[in-house]
Amino acid sequence: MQALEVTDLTTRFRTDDGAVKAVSGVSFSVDEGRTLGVVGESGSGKSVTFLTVMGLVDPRQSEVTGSVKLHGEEMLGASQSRMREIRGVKIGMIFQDPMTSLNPVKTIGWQLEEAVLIHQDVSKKEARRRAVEVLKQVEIPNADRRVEDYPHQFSGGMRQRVMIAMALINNPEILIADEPTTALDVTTQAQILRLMERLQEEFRMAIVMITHDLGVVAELADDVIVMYGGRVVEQSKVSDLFAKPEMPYTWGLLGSLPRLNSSGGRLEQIPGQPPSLLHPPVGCPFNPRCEFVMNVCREQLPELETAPIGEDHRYRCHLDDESRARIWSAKQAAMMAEDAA
Amino acid sequence: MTFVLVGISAHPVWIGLILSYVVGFRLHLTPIAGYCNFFPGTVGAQCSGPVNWAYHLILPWITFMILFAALYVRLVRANVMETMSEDYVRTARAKGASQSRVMVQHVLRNSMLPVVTILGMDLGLALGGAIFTESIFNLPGLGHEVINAYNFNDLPMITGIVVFSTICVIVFNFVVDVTYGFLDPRIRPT
Repeated sequence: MQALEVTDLTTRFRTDDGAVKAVSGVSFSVDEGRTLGVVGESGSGKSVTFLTVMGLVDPRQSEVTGSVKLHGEEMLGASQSRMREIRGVKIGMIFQDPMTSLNPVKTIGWQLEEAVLIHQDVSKKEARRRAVEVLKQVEIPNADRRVEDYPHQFSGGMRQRVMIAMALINNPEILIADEPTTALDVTTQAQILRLMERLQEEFRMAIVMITHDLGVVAELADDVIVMYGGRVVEQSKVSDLFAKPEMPYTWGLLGSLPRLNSSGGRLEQIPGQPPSLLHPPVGCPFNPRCEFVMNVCREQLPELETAPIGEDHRYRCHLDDESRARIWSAKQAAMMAEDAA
Repeated sequence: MTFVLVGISAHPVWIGLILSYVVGFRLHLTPIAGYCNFFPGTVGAQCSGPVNWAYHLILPWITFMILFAALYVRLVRANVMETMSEDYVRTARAKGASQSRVMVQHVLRNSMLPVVTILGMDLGLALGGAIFTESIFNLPGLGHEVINAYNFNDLPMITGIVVFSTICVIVFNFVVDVTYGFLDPRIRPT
């Protein structure tokens, strides 16, 4: 069953220079117990999409249209009080930088208890018991003593565990993790990812993993959407995306991954900059940086089309099936040749 | 913001004279100037008692306050706005905290930290401001005394007042530093 269904979501921010089209017509869904990876570079609209889902974009500065359904319940346009009930209970969210995401003047215990006390009518003692329990679940040693500590007494990885604990304390149905491992070092990253995997099995929740790290996606996600310029440009099962990506931007992303066994030459990069969301390019958002750009790309936005591989795999590109297959084989061969060298 | 702009720009002497003229002389709501003793029945005093005391001090208080109120409104406003955009405020919202809860529990205390620091440094400014206020309203006080001493070239008196003010500033700053420790766990000695 679908835990979260987003249809044609559009978020625009009003600025003095005009409307910033941060998210344009994004649709996707997350099934119960599954993990959706959301990939894209900075400014691709991936974070804003989920801040909109959470109702955390300022309504005075933004315009939101489309539909966000949580187990069938429409959330866009829901009252502020209903949204507050949903946040923290049905949807938990973890943010990118654990160093700044916890209030520095309150104890860890207080901040965890707050999440319980806002939503449940329980005693402070019971809330404290829940706080310690959930800290144990995220593997904080000496949890019953460490609840008294302040955030600055924790390391980055420990703070991210606390953030996860805080998001999980009310048993949410969906966990949205916005680049949860970006600010952590590699060994800590792996621990946090293992932890999230284990907790997903325990809590049976759907996870949305927002990241720019394809490695994280490969490891954790079941499905993946690639975002570019505020749009979904490719969506598929994870295995399909790595085996047969259908879009030049995804090729670029996969090509720019550092590989351990390569000869130490320069990393591939996608030339140019992400598009301005204030004045997005006409046609395909990727056209100014695409090496296979055609005239039609500069005039018309490609629809999300179904790939030859199957119904689940959709992409936006004007190139025909044959050309895409040919280019991707060539790219793959080049990468393999480089690996072998 | 008009209040802030006027409060910061207008000199206390000007504010004091205008208030004394309009409220005291024209409207007869308060005394124009002068002082009353706090303790009732003070020997040799023209008038005394807490009510009379406060009645005579209303205008000096307002004069003295306007500059600081304006400075601090601006400071608190800037700090609150800055704190509002902190990541942990977003975390609190993501937990489902209401707007008032976010403001009171998460924004207020964090935005008070810089304000308290400035408070300690501003005591010197306050003593300076007192010189103007006391002169305008003819109040017997440290500021008034230092002007008198200056006019009579009374060096020991000036030295005494300066030393006393210095001690006040140092003690007050110490108090502020201790308060800071209460407000912010990060600088508490462990």
